[in-house]
Amino acid sequence: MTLTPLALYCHFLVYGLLCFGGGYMLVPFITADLVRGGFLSEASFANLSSIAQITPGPIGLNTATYVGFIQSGFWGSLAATLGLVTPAFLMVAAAFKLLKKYEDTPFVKGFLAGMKPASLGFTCAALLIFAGMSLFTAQLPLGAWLRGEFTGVGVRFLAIPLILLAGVLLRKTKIPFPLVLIICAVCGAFLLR
Amino acid sequence: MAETPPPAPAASGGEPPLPPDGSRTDSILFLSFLKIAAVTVGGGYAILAAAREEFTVRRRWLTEDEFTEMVTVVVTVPGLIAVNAAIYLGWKLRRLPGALAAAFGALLPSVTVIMLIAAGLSSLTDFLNSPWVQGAFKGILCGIIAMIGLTAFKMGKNNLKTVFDWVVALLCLAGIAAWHWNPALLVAAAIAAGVVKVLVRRRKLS
Repeated sequence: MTLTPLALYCHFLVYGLLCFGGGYMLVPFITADLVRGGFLSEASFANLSSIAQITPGPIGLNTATYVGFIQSGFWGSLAATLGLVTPAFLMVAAAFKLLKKYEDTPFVKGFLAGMKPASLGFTCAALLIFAGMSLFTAQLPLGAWLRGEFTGVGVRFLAIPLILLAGVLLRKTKIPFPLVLIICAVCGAFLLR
Repeated sequence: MAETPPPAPAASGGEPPLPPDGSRTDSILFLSFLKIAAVTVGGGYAILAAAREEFTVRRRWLTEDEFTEMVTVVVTVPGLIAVNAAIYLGWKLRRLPGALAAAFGALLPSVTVIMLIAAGLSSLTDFLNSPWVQGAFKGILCGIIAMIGLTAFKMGKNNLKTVFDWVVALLCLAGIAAWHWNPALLVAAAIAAGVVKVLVRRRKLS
């Protein structure tokens, strides 16, 4: 069973509307809707998750492009991707205008007061997740640690100088960040294999 | 003192003044997001940190505060964080044409690369699973850890001022990283807590 580009557009339009919390949150939608609906096999979805992680670009977009392509080729890819992005245009523009218009209301002030520290917390959580994929050999079992169960994870010690090098290059030199990332990739290919 | 302040007052601390608005074109937005999406693995938060390098540190189109405000909006609104950021920035600087240019730049690398992979280049999948590429991937993540670390440090320095801020930030960190809560619930709770805080402070003042 496959979906036409138009159907793909509509499916991903709904995901784009409902998917709070970024691209990772797309996975439960696709599992519930497309895998259980019989449009996508478990195996190709598992394959997709690993590809979407390692290829550059937003993970949700990689996912949409891949699913769209398996379903109906080039136009399927395009339809799925555009479907996912369409609601964002309306909502981001609306958010932008509403924040400006109601700047002085307690709701907008409260939104900023609460979400500024919250988004910092999310950013730090992302930092830990990325550390679990490179600096450590597994995700840190923070939940267990907070319950007082201490289990260790392996550390890739060669990653430490690489992180520090990247930090110094970004902070102290004028080398643009894409070049820093490429330097990191080359070092990693030799050191972190 | 002066009756008409200059349009772009020089920033304190010896920082160079912001560039004139005329340098902010749709094509630069497109190319910048194309570049960011093409080299940044890891998705939303990695791309936000890259956008900070590009637009706050290098081009100085956004102040640190404006960057933080962008992050609060793009993680709250549904959809992909990276695409929301492209649309937000494009919209802020150049309205609809800017938003389209930035979003298209963010889309292009994913769409091209993934289509090539999905088109049955199975040799490409083997290539991606080779130890060299896996090592390079971990290497890029090290660079991204540094980039997000710098971003988090700056955001923390400017925004962690009260006990309330620390509590919200730590709960959101633990909620995602330790307890695996749904981020949408954390966002709703953080907004509710912020509104309560503002209302309580207002009542105290009056």
